[in-house]
Amino acid sequence: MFYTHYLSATLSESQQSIMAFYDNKYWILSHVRNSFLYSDDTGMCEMILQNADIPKKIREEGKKQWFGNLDDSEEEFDDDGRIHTRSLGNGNDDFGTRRRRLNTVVRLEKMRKEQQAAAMISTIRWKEPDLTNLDQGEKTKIFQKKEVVAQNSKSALSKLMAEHASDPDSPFIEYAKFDGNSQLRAPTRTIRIFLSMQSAEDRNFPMTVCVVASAKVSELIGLVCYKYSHEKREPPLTGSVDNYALFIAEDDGSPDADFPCLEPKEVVGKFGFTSLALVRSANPPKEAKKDVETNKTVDQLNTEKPEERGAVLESTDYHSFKGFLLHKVRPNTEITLGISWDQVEIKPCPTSRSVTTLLWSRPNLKPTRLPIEVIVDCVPMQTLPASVAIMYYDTDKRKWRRLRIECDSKTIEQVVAKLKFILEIRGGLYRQEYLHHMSYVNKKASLIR
Amino acid sequence: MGNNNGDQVILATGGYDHSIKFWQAHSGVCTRTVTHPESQVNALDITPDSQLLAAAGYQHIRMYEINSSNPNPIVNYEGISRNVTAVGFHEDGHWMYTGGEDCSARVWDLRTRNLQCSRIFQVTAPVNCVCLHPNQGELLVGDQSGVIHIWDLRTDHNEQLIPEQDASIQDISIDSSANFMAAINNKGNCYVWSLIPGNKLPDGEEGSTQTQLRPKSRLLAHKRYGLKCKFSPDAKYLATTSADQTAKLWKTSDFSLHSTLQTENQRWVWDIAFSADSQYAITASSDNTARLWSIETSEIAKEYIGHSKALTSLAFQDGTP
Repeated sequence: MFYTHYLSATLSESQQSIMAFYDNKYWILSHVRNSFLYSDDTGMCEMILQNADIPKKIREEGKKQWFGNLDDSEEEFDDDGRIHTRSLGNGNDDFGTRRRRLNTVVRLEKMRKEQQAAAMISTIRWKEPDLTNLDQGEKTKIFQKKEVVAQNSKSALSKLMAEHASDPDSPFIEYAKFDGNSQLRAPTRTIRIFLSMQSAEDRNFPMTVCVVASAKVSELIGLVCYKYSHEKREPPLTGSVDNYALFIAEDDGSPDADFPCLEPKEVVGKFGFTSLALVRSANPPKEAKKDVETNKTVDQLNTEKPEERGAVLESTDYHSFKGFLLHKVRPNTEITLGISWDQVEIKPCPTSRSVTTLLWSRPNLKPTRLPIEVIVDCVPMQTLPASVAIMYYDTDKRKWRRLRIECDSKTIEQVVAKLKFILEIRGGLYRQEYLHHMSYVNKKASLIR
Repeated sequence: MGNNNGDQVILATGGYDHSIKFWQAHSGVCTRTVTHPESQVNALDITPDSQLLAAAGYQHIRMYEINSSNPNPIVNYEGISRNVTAVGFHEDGHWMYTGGEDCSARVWDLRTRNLQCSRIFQVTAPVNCVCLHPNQGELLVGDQSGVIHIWDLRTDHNEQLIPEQDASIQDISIDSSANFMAAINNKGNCYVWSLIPGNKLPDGEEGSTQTQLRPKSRLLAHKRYGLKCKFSPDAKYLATTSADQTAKLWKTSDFSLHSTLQTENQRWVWDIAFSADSQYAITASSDNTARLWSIETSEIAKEYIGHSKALTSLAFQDGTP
């Protein structure tokens, strides 16, 4: 039905004349052909109809019926009588038609390519033997019997098997099949993968991977791991694909923390990223999903089992902790410490409403936000009551500073674990300098002792 | 014709998924996939110079370049009707032989495009298998009616033998020293003959008389269809494969069963090949998987996973280290 509508839309532009459809042989023929073309998914009809013209007589008669004697009627039709599908700027296009036409074009391309490929194949047809011409001498020469000689019994396969027997069977070999290079015609994606687990210099040289577009993200991770092990890169990988996650990579190859990691079950073909970063996360993504987008309070953390908690913290999600920020002169202020992938935030807690705190609470207790780059260390302090110290580099004052937060021991553990994990991966120049400085200081101290 | 890639290990598998895959045999990784459109692969064989792979399909034989990334064949032999079920080569690569459902065995002259020396041998039933005697001068043709034909290519003389009435011959194998011949039929029975080479013709005439066969043994190898039989290169074992989902290895010294290659997922075992030192065997099964087995332990050393449909044939050429 839509085709009729489309047809009338095409013609209405230039022809206001009477449209006689079903008693116009030419129209019926064109309509039937075009219907076959549009509804055929295999492209066979296109192939056949390409070479079959509507008989001239019918064509001429049909045109006359339609257009009277207008000369510009020729433009409307191809030689084989197919009605031109011009794209009409007036929005009368039926989108479905255009899409189907595009499909046909794609299929035509595919067929043209196949024909080209077929042309490269030389064909040899069986020829009935002409025994009269074939003399006995020739026959004897070609088909004569030979002495049977002993076969060589050395096996290259056995040698290779023995050589590679000591190779640990790559745990990721099942993912080798997702390599797009050994596949036929399947759509693939070529992606640069930055490997965050490698050393700082190696990290800058990404691995180029060609994966079949139908693979899932977890399978792409497997393929990257397979290639990593196969190429004997250092340090060796541990665990399974569940321990790794892919993030969108920034220009320098570091994972982009603004976006969560790629969902393992998603199909790679959906994405168009050219650069991704592989990151190790100790927890399987399934567990992390449990608390995604929710700020966990200390209470919630306390009710969880310790192992789970540990696993949950070593992830890239945002977590918040409650404690008291210690000052040198002022009383302690209750705060919420928020740690995320790219910053540490200290927010005052407007919970206590006693007069004293109101008097003391000053506007200078604004939330403090520290980008992860300036955080250099996080250690538990041996004070009573226990507290945790977060060291950072103050870019304005150009020196290292320390924040002390008092909280219960469990929270201290978690804060230290989380920050240490993040610093492992994201630790930048400031941290390196600090660590260098500290090791120098410690060395000196040990010498003195 | 020298062996240009003498050290190369080539493994190719094909079946119903319109593709042929090349594998790195020692790691199980698929290195290349080529297209075999519109037809299943009935048989595969590698040319003696390791350059081309022949795939026998429906009404054609397609040749693929082995050391190339071209996903398409480079030569297509046609002019045959119905399925081509067997393909093989003369050891010098001068000619190729095929057998087919059109009840014929053919010899294709590969030296020239116009197939100067082509030959044809007609029988009365579809041909399931064709085996070239190591003397390169005789072809053994097995057909669906249960007849084995011995075709002397020089003289065109042929002999017939019927090991079992009305039992379709599925495969014929001759060991590399030409001491034994085995044939397996669709009842799962495997017959073995001793081969006696022909005598030199008197008066210095070129050639010799035909090979004689002397019955040696009958193995009730499988209870279901037999599919393939093959002697190991050292002739110590005779392998038989079957629809009973196993491949069995028989000692040629006394034709007792040495071992059975089977595993839970394996379905019909359509093809088998040995490594040059008879230490390993590779099977192709209709569970879409090919497997490398250690003969000594009967354990699977590698699996070749990647095809999406049943595998019906494999081609294996072991290199010289």
